[in-house]
Amino acid sequence: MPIPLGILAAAGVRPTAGGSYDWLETITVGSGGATSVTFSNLNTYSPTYQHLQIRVAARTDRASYVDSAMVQFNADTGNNYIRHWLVGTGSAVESSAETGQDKLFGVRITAANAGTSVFGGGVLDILDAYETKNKVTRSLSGYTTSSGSEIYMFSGLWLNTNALTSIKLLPNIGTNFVQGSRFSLYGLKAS
Amino acid sequence: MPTPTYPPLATITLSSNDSEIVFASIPSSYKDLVILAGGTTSSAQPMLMRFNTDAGANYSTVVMRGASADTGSFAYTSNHNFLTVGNMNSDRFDLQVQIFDYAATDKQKTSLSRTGYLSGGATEAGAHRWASTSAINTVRLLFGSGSFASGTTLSLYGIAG
Repeated sequence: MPIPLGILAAAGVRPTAGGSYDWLETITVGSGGATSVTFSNLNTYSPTYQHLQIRVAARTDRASYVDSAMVQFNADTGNNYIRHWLVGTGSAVESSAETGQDKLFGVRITAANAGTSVFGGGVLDILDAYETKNKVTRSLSGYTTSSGSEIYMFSGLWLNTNALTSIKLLPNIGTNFVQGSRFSLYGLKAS
Repeated sequence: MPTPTYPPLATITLSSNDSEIVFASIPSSYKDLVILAGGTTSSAQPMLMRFNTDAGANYSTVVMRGASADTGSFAYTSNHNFLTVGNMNSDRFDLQVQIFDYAATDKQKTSLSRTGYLSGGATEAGAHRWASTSAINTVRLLFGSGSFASGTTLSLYGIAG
């Protein structure tokens, strides 16, 4: 049964947002690529939002078909991150954990050998971004290519109770995010 | 400037069984699409997804599954004429699909799915790709055999970006 959206519009039903989930900013990588992307001045959002979300469609220039977008908060490059993952590889399910890391896994994406126009996608949630708590992240991400496919669940912990002021994303192994990579930041309000 | 988003674009609650649900005439003005569904299926069959009018072998999928007694993962690449967003089991299910950059003409279309169903107790997550750079204007959820049962609700949302 087709649901033609034009009928909803003709009936006077205009798509409206409820106002609790807001699009804040988007960074799209231009020609030449980018070694990282950073959402800054996040303190300006703290009076309004409880949680943050980043939606990603991206790939890197790594000479492989797969890479990851890593995350650092508030310019912290110290070994203050703990990360876990659960992955389906198409033939097996695997999991692992690491402590004392200098960045978190954000989302799993593709790389230079993935095939033309093939980007990985993911949704990264950062909970209680401005609370006096160690910061928790979780994400769902993945990709399929002719060389390999993966579906990933990452979770992470930043051992710092400061409110977020910046989020930096950078390739795990590649040098650059390539042109067309897109990172969008959203805020979720508390009741 | 913060922009409220995630508006509902279409919602349907089935009054009878239906083997295929089609969201058509999707505007290109959003960045991502989200589909949320909850209901019941008529039989134990995979739930499939296609885009636009493409029924060719242009779809690939990887799924990770956790059931009551085991875990597993399967994948197929560009040799199927559908994506598999979930393996249903003739009982209540829930489904979330995220479609990234659906209107972009410089990207093949990547999507993610999360499903769970009651009978047999399984949860699944999947990543999918439609090997086309065409903008998505139609999303089809269907069964090769079996159907969505009466009372099932499916909603389409747009996310600005």
